Amino acid sequence: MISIIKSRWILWKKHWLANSLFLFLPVVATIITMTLFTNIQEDSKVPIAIVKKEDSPMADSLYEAAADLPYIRLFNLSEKEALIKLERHELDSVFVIDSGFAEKIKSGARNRLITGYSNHGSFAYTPIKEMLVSYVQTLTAQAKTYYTVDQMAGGKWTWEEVTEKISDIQTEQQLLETTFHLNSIAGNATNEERNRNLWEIWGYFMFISIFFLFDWQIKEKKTAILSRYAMMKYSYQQYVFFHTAVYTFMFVSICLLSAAMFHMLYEEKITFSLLWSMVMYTITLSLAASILSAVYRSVYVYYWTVLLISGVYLITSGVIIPTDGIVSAYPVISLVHPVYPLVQEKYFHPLVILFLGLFLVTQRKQKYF
Amino acid sequence: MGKQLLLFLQLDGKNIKRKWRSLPLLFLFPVLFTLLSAILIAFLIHPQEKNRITVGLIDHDDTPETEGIVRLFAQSEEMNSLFRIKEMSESEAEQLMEQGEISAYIILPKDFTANLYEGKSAVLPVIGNPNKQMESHLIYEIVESIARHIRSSQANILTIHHFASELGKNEEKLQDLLFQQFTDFVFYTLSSGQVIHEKTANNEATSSPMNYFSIGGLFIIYTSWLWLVYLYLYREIDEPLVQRMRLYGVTKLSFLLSRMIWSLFIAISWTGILFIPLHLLLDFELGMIDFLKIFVIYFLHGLLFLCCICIIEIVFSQEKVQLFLQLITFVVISLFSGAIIPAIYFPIWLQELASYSFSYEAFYWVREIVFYGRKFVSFLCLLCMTIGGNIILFGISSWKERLQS
Amino acid sequence: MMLIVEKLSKSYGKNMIFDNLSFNVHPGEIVGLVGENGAGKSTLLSILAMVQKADAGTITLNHQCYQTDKKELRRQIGFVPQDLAIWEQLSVKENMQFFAQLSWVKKDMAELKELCLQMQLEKWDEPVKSLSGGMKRKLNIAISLIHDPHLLLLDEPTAGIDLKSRTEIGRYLKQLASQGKMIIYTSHDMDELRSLCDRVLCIGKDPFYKNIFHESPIPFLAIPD
Repeated sequence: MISIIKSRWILWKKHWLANSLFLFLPVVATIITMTLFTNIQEDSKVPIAIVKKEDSPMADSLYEAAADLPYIRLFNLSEKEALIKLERHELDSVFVIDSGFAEKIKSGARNRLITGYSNHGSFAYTPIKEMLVSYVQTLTAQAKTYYTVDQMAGGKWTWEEVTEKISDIQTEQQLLETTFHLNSIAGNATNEERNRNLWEIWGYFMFISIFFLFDWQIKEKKTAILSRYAMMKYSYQQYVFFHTAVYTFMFVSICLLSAAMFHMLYEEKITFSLLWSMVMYTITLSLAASILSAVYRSVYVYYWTVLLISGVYLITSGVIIPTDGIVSAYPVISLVHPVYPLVQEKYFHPLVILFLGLFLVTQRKQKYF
Repeated sequence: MGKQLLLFLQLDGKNIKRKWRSLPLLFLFPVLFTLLSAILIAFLIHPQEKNRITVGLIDHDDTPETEGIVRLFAQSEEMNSLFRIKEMSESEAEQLMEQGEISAYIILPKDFTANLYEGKSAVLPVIGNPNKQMESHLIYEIVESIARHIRSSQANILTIHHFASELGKNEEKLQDLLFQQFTDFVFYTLSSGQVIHEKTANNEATSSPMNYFSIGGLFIIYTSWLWLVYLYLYREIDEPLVQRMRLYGVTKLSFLLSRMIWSLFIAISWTGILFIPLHLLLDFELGMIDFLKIFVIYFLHGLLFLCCICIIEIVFSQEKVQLFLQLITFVVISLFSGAIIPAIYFPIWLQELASYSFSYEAFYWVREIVFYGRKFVSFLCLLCMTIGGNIILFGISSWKERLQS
Repeated sequence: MMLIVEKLSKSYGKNMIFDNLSFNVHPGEIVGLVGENGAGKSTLLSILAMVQKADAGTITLNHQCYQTDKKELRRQIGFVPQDLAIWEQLSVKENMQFFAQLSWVKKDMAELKELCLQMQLEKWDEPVKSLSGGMKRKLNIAISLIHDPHLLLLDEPTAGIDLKSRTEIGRYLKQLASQGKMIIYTSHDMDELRSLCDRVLCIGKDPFYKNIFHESPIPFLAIPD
């Protein structure tokens, strides 16, 4: 085995830069993508406009409440301007605080206090509408409280006193809380708080890395050199077999490195089930890459195929479009797509068996001499 | 140079004729790819009824108030569109969760209402299924938003409680009052539909997401065709042949230029083919002159994109490095165009960055023409970029050529 | 120690390459293999090298049969293919190292270098890409000799190289033969064959070669037509 590793090293170091680039791609590219992702996600804001048709403290407070929302970029425009921008898709949605807003609330009215404009491309209209409604509702509920108290006491307390009391209670008293945790019986509680996106992205780059590096099999299939294996200690079959093993081992060490890095950077808990899934995933892909590269004679056509497959892989892996719905509708997808056992940390990876079988079959067919 | 280019154009043309059988595959792949994405997105937007997520609700308190809360959950619009609420016992819930039947369950603990009234800490735990984390978190988000409603009602009830006790009402009467207030507030919260007067802001034809994403999808498909055809025309050329070519004064650039021109030609024709049914289907009001403008924009965008692809191929010698970098370029250029996600949703710094890219500029004008019927289109910026891109391409290629000889 | 070939036949589909071919080679002997292009010289060599299989007939080397003792025989055969079976991107040293790792016998760097020097292949650290044709040919042979084979099969080892390299290779082959190795090689150069070979084996249907060698002083191995 040592001689196999040495011979691999001689070929590897010729293109050490490109090779190492691809070898460490899963670690480096995942970190870069994650950083970009979080940055973009944090900075991504939905542009909306709130048009104030009246200048009351209540209207102001609504405006401020909307401005405090973390995912909104708020514009204060005139109604005409805002609607033009909305039509040109430069705003997601527009909300108009109609005149008489404060008066209506104080008088207990609660219908048609705000006018909301959306167009067919508004992604954020509904959540923002809900937020504004709930805010307006706290205002109208305050009005309702005031009238209830007023009825009981007959004008003993003023509007200001009552609303002040409400906000006091909101800040001082322990009001309803919600907690969230994952059930520890139903699954292995260890994968609590797993950053699923991270592993999906890692999975994709691992795919690219493994398949692109397995081009060695095509490059080393040159017919002239093939004839030499007839006289050597290893037949070509054995040569491919052992080198596949060496590469797989190398990728497995990249798994460990990735796990360590992600533990340090993203505080991912390293568990046995995670490591097992990573290793199984890597073995699955290495076998698949070995099988695929055994079929091809031209490196370029091979890369081409890999790119096309990687495209389909990417789209169906849930990185770009969440696929939970379709996967739970057709669980078969999680059997044929290697990324699902990885992110779900399954102990059984069905594809490994399939590819191992295919690998052995293609190995037998590879019998040149 | 011109003569050589003509020769290579002919050569590549023959090559395409010889391999024409794989061309439809090239044509179909991006289309199928887009279709696949569309199916996945459709699944995302319209979850199957049979897959509606079930949520368990466990009522340990069992008071009229908690019944009201159960109803509140059951009637909540966002909850209902995605989930099915089912009341059950805790042991039942755990069993169902183990079987993967429910994604989460909510517990209304004992003395929940009493605590709520008295301003003692009342907690509403949500227990998620570790095997369905995404869904569990989603449920928690919704529970939290409903809890916000309850919180505000709670504050109001406590205020009433406060003033009532200051008026010296006795405990029994107070309880009755609070219960009445609570149900009042719950129903009050439920009937919130009228607060906002909703209007849609514009004319159907130009702004439906279907239209936007069809035009965007076509733009992306066009860009991927450019790349795919370009890759398809790749030919492995042995070193001896390259040397022979060099003897005739042929540079690598002539090969590349010929590939660029063919890719442009094929991709534009295919886009034209795809544009006709799209145009009929979506009913835009475009005149001949608009088509011509769009053609020019597509042409310039394609030329610039191929310039980038070519430069990568010239600078890097390892094929897999070339391909990987081209892939990244393709992804970045497509994202920057705003054809996948409208640029307004980007962070400001990314919007600024994207606005410097030619794909953004190109897609901006396409949108202007198709959606807003803009008559005046400024090609100047795109044209300058095209000229610049080509100068860089020529510069790098001659530098590399000199380096090799 | 002897190579015995009996009644060997090979055909590609309907195209019969050779039929009923028998000969033997003794230790220390250099046998030239001649015949027109397409006569089956390379095919015969690759059968002897176990790269291809014969349709019928038996081959034994040192009383070991090709059909049954494959594993043992692999250690004893060296084969120099007609095309350059070397890594273009590696240096001479790296090529030798690479194949030494996969070879039967462990050889250290000094021994590998010595092997190259014996063939006057001095450019040890240079990448193969920049070597001359003759140097590449020498390397192609040297790699096949790493595991000290008893039987050396060379498929046009001297094609297209200068006289000096050719003489050097010839001299080295003679040296190997004097150590008791059996060498079979193909060539189209009559002078070379005459000066190097103890015997010449002529295959193919064209009588041209047979006529030439009938007149030559080298013992001629006729084949049944």
